[in-house]
Amino acid sequence: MQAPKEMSFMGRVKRDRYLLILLLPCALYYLIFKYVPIFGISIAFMDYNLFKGITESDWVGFKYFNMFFNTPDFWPVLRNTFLLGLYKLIFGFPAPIILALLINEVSKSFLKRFVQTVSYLPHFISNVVVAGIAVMFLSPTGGLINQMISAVGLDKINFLVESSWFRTIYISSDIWQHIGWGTIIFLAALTAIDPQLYEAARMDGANRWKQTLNITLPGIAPAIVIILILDIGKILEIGFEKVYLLATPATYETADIISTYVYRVGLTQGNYSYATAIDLFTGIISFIFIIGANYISRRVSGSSIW
Amino acid sequence: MKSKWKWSWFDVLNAFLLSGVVFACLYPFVYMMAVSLSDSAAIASGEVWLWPKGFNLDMYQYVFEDGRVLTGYKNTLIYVILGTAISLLVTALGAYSLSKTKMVMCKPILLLIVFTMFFGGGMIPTFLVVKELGLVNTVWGMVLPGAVSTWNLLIMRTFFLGLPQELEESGKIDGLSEIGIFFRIVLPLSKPVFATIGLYYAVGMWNNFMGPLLYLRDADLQPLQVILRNIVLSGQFTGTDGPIVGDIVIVEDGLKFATIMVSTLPILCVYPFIQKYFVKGALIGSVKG
Amino acid sequence: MSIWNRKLGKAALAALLTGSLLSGCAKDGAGEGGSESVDLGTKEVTLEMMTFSHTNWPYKENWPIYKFLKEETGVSFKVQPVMSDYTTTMNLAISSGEMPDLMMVNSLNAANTHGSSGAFVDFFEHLDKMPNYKKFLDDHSDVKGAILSPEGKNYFLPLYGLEQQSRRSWLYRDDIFKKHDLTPPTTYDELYTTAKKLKELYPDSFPIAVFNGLSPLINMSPGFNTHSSYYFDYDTEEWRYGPTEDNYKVMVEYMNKFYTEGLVAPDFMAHKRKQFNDLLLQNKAFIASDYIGIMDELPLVLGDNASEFSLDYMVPPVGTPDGKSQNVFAGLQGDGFAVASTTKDQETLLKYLDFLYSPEGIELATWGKEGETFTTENGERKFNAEYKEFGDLRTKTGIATIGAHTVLDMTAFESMYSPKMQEAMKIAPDHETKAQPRLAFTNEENEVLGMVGETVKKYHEEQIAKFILGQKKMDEWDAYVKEVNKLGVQQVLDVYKAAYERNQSFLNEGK
Repeated sequence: MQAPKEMSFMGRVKRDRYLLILLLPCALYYLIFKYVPIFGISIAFMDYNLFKGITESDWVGFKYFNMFFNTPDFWPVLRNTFLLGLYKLIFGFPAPIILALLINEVSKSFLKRFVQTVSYLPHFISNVVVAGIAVMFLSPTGGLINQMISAVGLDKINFLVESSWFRTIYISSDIWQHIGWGTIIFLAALTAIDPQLYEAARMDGANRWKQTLNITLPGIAPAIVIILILDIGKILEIGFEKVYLLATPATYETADIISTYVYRVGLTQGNYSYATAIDLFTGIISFIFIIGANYISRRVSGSSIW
Repeated sequence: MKSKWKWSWFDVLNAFLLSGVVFACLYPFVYMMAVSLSDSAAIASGEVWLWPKGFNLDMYQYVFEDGRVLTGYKNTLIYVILGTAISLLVTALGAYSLSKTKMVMCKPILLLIVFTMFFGGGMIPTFLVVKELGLVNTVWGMVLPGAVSTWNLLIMRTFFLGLPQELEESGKIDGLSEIGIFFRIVLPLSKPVFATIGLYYAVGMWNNFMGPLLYLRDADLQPLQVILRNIVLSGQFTGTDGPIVGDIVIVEDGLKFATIMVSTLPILCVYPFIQKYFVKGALIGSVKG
Repeated sequence: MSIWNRKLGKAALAALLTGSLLSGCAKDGAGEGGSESVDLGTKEVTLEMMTFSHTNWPYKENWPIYKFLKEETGVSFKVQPVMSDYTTTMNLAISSGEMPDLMMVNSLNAANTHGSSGAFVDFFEHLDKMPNYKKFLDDHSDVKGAILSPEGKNYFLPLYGLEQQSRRSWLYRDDIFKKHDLTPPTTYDELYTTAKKLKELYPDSFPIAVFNGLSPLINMSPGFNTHSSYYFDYDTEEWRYGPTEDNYKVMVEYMNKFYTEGLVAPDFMAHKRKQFNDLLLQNKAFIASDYIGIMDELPLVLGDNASEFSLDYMVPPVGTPDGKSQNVFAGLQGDGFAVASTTKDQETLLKYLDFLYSPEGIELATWGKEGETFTTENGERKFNAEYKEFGDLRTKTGIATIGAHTVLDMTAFESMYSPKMQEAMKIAPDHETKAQPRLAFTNEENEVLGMVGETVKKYHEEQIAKFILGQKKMDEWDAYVKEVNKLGVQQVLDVYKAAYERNQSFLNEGK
């Protein structure tokens, strides 16, 4: 225990043998289902032919990467993806934390459970239906939102064909879908906070805001930090389905993102190589993001993923 | 304890905000429920807002008449129970050992795991591996290829990191190995996180339709989601360079929403059972006790 | 890594297929007889087939149509019905080396890509064994032009017939028109004034129902003698790009006018079929451009109230002096059969498929079996009364479902339409464009279409949408034309031209 540095590698393996046994199933999973197929990345560097398979398809080097970098769509698509992801992070990440804190402040247990249960309902609604609901609510004729807008005496907005509204619509619907679901993890984290801390604070005359700031938030901070780091890694990872469903030609300016581009050019044309190359490219950027976030977090907050 | 509880301005604001959340989250469900129970003429003329008009159970009858739906329920249940159990166990064991930062190779292994979040072989190579393992068209094809979610693993690890060290020290003094510590001490203390991650896995499995699409051929093995999707999906099979064959069907909203109800209500019922683990101070209480 | 070795997969496949292999070997000599009498019945073979299964008529193992086919040919199928994400399922089957013997492919392009890499059988090499198919192609030269690979081979067996009922058309609420003494418009100016009148009568309405992005322009374009994409102008025999033509601009101006004056829904681009249906069903739209079948289908939604609702065929309006009163006819279906090169019983399978192109085969696939699905009275055939409409027939018998036919005699099903629809189906063919050539592209050409073509398309759609919505002024049209040309319209046109000429030379060679 006292001098781990002097221990040999094998010595440490021996010391940690029980931990390693616990890790084994997990490690095997990653090996078999993640690392064995990872050679599929080579598809990005070849003219992958489904029938010939990886061993017999021709190598083309960086052709598909160059193709992506040289398309006039490259910068707009990258920019749109990044901005959408960034706004999603800025607004979508704190939302469940805030809701969890608000729910936490409800003192009636029944109401607390009711709000929790109801708030996670939208998570079960598929994107197709979400898009349908959005069209219904945002309709410039009879949609609820526009009825409210005109009730206040403002001009109706044709939300779905204005490119300046696309991100707002996407992100609000995303928050709506996942806010309740996201709170669950924080509610679990809240259970770990010692109630005695609150009592002590109350004795010191701390009000609820102070208690939240000094006890609740620090209590769930590790969970917040980890999820933030993971979310930063996912900035570029925006599924294609909902964007595709909510976009119209008039909003391509803001709504065309990497995944919709891949769908249009790569997958519908059966070009797996191109799709894989673009995937690899975004993977590299995302990996850099998460490494950076992890590094900063380790420096600033002390907690990190590795 | 709260005998002197009064309504402060914050409580009012909070009540207002949460009512907003409740309305926004509940209304679409109520609406879908109402539509699924109304007759199609009333829906088509836009009369249904809150309550069913022309109440009937036709859509539900239609959904359940399709014998496959019951098979689907059965299969989904099997996949969810088996899959959640396996996923939870493998994830928790892995997360626990990786929470011991002093463990040999801990950091490199973590990095390798995070790496897979961003780099993967893709659909076809993964399919080929699953096929070579003989998992295609078996229950295991549903359960194993997605057994561990890196996100869940890392969250669980964070929770284990937060457990008080003294506990485990005391376990060591009692002569327990790490395996013993995990099952005797850590597991009972981590019910909230097990409940949460278990729920995440269960719902993930419940909603999974990509897995069966790739790995299951047999009609008798299909889970509920796939069957419902097939009922609802309108003829979208044709490629891009042909006309849409005159087989476009008007899928009525009533049917679409009935399938949503049929597929979500059961899993929604799980949540209240999870909630009882979210008792504040549960962990500390048991540590003290 | 053995996993990557597809040979292994093939070995497994061989083992898996041993059953059918044995049964196949036993009767090699069978069926060699005269090609006219398609009697394959002496041997029984079970093969694997992957095909679409439609939501409304999902595949059933006990469908009589497959029983009839088996009785006639001895071939039966273990079917893998796929209801959704067909492309993914198909691609996995191809990449795993475990292809079913017979599969539906959902585009000519897919058939050619996989065919040229060796996955599928080239039917032209076996025309000697497929006399009926050969005759069918000789009789239908337009079909022949639409099934070739860029090398002049043929990996794709066309389906013929069902495309007839996927006609696009203009429709109008004849009951409302009658009520207000209006006549269906024949020009876009009349369309405008009629819609205006309807808007006055029903201020809450958007008289013209269109939906889904810019897709309404597709069917409007013949009225302006243009096209919504690259097209072959049969009059001048040249390839052109519609969206930069002056006529196209006129069409966009009309759309802009409709939009500005509330004659189409302001968010029509975001509308999906549901919103479109709602507009029509709630008396908020009275003229529509969609496919012809909704004439019979929409009233069904209304159930008992259907009597208050009536849609009828409207002759397509004309927008410019050179415009044509036509709907766009898209031609052959996208789907076709492909035979796996790995099949163990190619001989039998080709014979089976050839049978489907024979007059007997067409008759069987269309009508089923006398006494079981239809009866003959006074020399006239009639489907059994238990089949109420076309969909019902398909659901109950499997007739006219994908996978159970190649060619259908569509006249057989006419009696199942409503009288109004039957009437419309008679006029419709006279108001239709000639289908655009369906071309086969090489991999390099496909790359140009994917890269340059998609960039052009996205820009064009975005700009046109903005013109229609008034987010861009019409006087910026020339700048748009310049920019879209700069993105590479000519490059794509060249690809079409090359592919077309290649296609023509194959056809002429064959003559």
